Amino acid sequence: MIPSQMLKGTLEGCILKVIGRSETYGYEITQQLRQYGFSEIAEGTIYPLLLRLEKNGLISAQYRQSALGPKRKYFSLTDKGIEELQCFSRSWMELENAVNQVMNSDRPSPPASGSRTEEIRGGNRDE
Amino acid sequence: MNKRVKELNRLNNEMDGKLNEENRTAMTDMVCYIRVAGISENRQEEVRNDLLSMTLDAQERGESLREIAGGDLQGFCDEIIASLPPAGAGERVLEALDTLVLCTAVLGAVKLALSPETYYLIRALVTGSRPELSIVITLGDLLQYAAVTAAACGIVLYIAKNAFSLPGGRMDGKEKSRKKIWRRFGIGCGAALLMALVLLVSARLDHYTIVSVNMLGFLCIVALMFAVHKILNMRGVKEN
Repeated sequence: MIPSQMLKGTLEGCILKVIGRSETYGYEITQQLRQYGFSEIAEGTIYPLLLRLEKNGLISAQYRQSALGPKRKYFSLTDKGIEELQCFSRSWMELENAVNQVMNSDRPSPPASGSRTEEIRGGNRDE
Repeated sequence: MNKRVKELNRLNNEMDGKLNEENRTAMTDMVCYIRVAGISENRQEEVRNDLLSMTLDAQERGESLREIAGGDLQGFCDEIIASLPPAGAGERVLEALDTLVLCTAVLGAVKLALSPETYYLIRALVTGSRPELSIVITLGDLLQYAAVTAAACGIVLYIAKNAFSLPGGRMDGKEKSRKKIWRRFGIGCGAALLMALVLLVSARLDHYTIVSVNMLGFLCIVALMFAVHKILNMRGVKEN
């Protein structure tokens, strides 16, 4: 199980990526995330994040009739969302690289100041 | 409530009717909690629509609202509220004004119906004597108006804010403690005592006349307040 604090920062980027592949709705996003290994994700976990992404103009929603039951809200990326996804992708790779280096390193001393990890921390946006 | 919100509200009520008992109870608690969170009416209905769609879908799959919320309904609502922009200052002022004019209209009508002046007027009309058309507003009336309005708003807020823990609502996995029950009993007794005190003081202050107005004029003011309430409810709410 992934701790919720660790999830918080990364889940929005992952949702953007899933929506970026094709227009989709809440339950489908949850199912896809589960398949990728986010086993504890409930639809209720991503709904507030979708609201926040929509509020920040990163995704847009459109209602479509479903075969069974009520209308579904389908999400797609906006131009701002595409930019944000690219930004997240770059930041994630840098962070992953830095964390991997720390985890795999045998050296006891930290890397010198002004490293790329500093840049990541400085560039981390919290909207 | 503007036309679009009214339409969405009607649609949501229809969808709500399709929920099973367990999901309806959970949905009622959630909607109650979200209603007093300082979000615009439009967004409240939009969120309600999303939640109802989600729940009806889940119901088709044999899941419950509690399951899709991850087990913690209040936490889920808090996350939703944090993700939405608060209602604008203009809308909050209009909402407060709406509450005030509605309370004035209702309490004014009650005052008119229960005042001795109305009884004397009816008696004069029946016996054919000269009717007295004035009604007296006392300091006690004003105190009662303020106390009843504050109490009504307070009770609504208390119930909605505690939607998940009051009897009838379900606490998420926690047993209601004896301490909490005693605390609520204390709050109830305190509120009852306060109201009794207000009624006692207002009865004493009934001798202090503030103004004496014509009954027809008073009736017009009550009708005007109700009309303002209706207009405020029909207005097109400007979204944030």
